[in-house]
Amino acid sequence: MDAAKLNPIRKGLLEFLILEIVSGNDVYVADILERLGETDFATHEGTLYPLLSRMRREGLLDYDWRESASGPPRKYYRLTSSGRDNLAHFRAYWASMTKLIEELGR
Amino acid sequence: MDKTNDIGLSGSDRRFRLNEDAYDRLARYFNRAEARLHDDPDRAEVVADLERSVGDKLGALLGSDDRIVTVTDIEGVLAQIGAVDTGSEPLPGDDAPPRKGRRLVRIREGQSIAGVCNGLAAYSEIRVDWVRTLFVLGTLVTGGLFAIVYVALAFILPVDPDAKPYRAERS
Repeated sequence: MDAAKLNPIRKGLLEFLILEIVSGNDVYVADILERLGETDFATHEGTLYPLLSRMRREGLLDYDWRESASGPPRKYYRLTSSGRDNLAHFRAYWASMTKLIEELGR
Repeated sequence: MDKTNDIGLSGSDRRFRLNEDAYDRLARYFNRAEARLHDDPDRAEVVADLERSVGDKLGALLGSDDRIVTVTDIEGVLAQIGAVDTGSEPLPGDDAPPRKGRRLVRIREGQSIAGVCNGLAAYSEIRVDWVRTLFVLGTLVTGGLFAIVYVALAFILPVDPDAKPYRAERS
């Protein structure tokens, strides 16, 4: 199959995967990059910063500054309640999609 | 000795000394980043995020060494960070060769008269001061012919709202 056909799906899913990652623990950008690095969704800061700032604008997550042992202070992200709702919604939707695909392929 | 540029980056007190090529490469990255983020309300914040990341990575790369940063250093750092992708438009990757079929346009930012010289400078990659000097000298030598060419170009060439003149300074 032409892998490029999956690109729009991958792009659209990235936001939800970030919700997943941020939901676990307070994380900063390097953690997100590392978690995604081994996957099909490996990405860069050039993509993450605009996306994180948009998600914050939409009220899905927020951050606070924390000092780091080396280098400048870092932004640590966490989900807002709206972010949690979104994630729960996405999980339910994803489960229904998986079920639908199974059923249609039967 | 080569000229160096002393720069500071958001979020850090540390100053970095960049040689000319390194500085140009970094300025180009941020020019592009700002252009892509032009309708992002949090543009300033995202640019600060990127600057902080560049500072962080350069600091780690140099350690306590206060040497001059080269274009190789900058390219290594920028390759880790990646081009700004806002996800809203198709992206001709940051490292892609410059767009073929460059268009000759007028550039209003930093214009003296109508932006013709500015556009020619961006198109030819010759410094705008030189282009302007050539036009003035040409006008004198040809008894005004160049001035007519200028006026004609001012009418013929479209204005490109997105085109940016080469921006030399960045603090």
